[in-house]
Amino acid sequence: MSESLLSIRDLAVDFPARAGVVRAVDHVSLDLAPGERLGLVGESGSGKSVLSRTVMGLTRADSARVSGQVVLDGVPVLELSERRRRDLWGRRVAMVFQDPLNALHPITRIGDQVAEAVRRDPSVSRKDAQARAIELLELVGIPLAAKRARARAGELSGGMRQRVMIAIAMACRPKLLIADEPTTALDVTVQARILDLFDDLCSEFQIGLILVSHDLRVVSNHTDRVAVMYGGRLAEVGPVRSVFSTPMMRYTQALLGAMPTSAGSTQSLPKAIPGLPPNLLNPSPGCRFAPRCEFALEDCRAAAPDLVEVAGEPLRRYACWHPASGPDSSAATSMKSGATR
Amino acid sequence: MSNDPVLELRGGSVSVRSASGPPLELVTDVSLALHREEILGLVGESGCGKSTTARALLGLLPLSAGTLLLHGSPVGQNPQPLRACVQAIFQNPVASFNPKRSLLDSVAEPLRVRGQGNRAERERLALAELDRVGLSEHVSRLRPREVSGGQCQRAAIARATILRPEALICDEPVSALDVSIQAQIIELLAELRRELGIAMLFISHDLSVVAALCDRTAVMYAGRITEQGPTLAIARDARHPYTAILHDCEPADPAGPVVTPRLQMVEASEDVDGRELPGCRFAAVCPRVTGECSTSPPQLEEVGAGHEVACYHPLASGTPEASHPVSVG
Repeated sequence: MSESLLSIRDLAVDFPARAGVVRAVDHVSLDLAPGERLGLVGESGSGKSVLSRTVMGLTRADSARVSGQVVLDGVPVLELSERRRRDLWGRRVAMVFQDPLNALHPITRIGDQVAEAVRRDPSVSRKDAQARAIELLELVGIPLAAKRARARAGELSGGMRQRVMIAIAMACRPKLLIADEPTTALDVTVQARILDLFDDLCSEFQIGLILVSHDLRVVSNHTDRVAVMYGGRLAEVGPVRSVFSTPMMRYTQALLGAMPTSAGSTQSLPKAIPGLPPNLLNPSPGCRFAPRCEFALEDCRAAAPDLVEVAGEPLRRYACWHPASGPDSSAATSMKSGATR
Repeated sequence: MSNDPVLELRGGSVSVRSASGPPLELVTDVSLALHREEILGLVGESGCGKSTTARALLGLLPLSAGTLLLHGSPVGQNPQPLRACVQAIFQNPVASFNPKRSLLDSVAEPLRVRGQGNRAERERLALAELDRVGLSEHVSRLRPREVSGGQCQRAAIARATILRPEALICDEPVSALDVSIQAQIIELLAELRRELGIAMLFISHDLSVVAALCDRTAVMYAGRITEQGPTLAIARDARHPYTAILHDCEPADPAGPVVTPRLQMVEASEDVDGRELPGCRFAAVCPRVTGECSTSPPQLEEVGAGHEVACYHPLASGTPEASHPVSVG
């Protein structure tokens, strides 16, 4: 695809450990178009953060073995030296992390921190950078930006700090923004505004977004497409509404059922997924979810399923030997089947 | 047995000394009652006083006003009966355990402190309690760092219930857990309520978790209770603008329809600390604010069966904009 902003092909990331090899990302292929918002969901250890960091070129060669291809805006990221990768940061791809307080410098005034990011482009003068920093702070919705630019990180609320991080990420007009759990540490009222801000930035500047989250609800309202990961593998990928209304892969279905919901006219407990997240150290050959899956049969433990297309929906793919097929076994029904009081 | 709640906070306030100026009141005039076999949810955003309220209920913080009652009698200066009846679990289970001891040792510890049984007996009881929460003997003999967060939270629950408390204070017990594990712990808490009849306070910033588990819900803003009532009434028929906004900000059900918000908080140009306002503490960001709101703090008034709201301009009941769209199956 020539239109692709990001193309990930057969990406695998291994971390050698004393007791064996931890396969954090297991042969993942994904594409992202300019301006498209992709949700990357999964639980701890599903590989979503390692995947997004590898796209960014942050996985270090001395600790990880990376194979496969990542092409970002025409640049083969994995083939670049570490020094050349740095040139991508800010200008082609930028990242927003979960904890803005740790990512910001505690003493430097926030306006100066944004200006420093603007100056990654050497053609910008110091004075212009200051002015541009205030513009950026206004862009991300910080009231009284000129005054706040003189504040230090500790004087701002969590939501305001995260806006500053987004301003820094936007400083050199990146084409891809990776947000790793950007609202997990924030209150819901603040979370809603930060997510709206991402929506606005993506549509206004045609920025591609990878929104990494453990919260399916966050992803469902603020992305176009979703990729569900489990145990380092892609479990299911497709348009977000379609995946969440009729999940195919049994893990997606179970995860939807485990979400507590305040909708519905009666109270119902979320349906727990039994067992523990998978151990990625020397995993067994079958489907990673098989040990916790109530529909697993012998074939699930023998070999891992490949991603296949959903009939009639060419944009959707899933990896499951015994998928939930048809609208009857959709998430909505599985959610209702939780214990009703 | 009397109808008195197991544990009750009546008009409780908690203040801390501040370096400059008068003492800062973190929690003001909070009344909460924990009844047997009932789970009370307490929701609100960071800094609103949820955890301070929890600590006050545990007798860990002195009250600057109001009374803490155990079975209807004031607790006063002697915390011993309270210690025996009220236990707690917290957000980070790994941090709440001694890293060098096995889960089993830690779960048996409360028995040892109370001088119950000999070593072998205590171990037997602790294993039984760990088994109740779903941990095998093998896992029980591991240290906190060797098990997952969910397993550790199970052990924390076993440690809290081994003395058969009548009330359990759960401060964000599932916030640090993965969704699939979170649901396991919620099921476990519901089971404990059913089997042991424990009264629970369930603190969370996540309205949907509270809506799924709790019988009653109280909403806190800047140190005051703004609305409380049966969970379904709070979820479907929120009357306080803050509760309605919290609901709207909650990301929608992924399989349900897209919900458009009805109310939005007013963007305050400066950070206002609601605790410093003379009237309603939500006034600075409230979309329905009028002059009346800054006169004096609104008191909780009953608007339905067991449903109370502290607001001069509550939303109308059951109006189309006040009811939430029910997700389609």
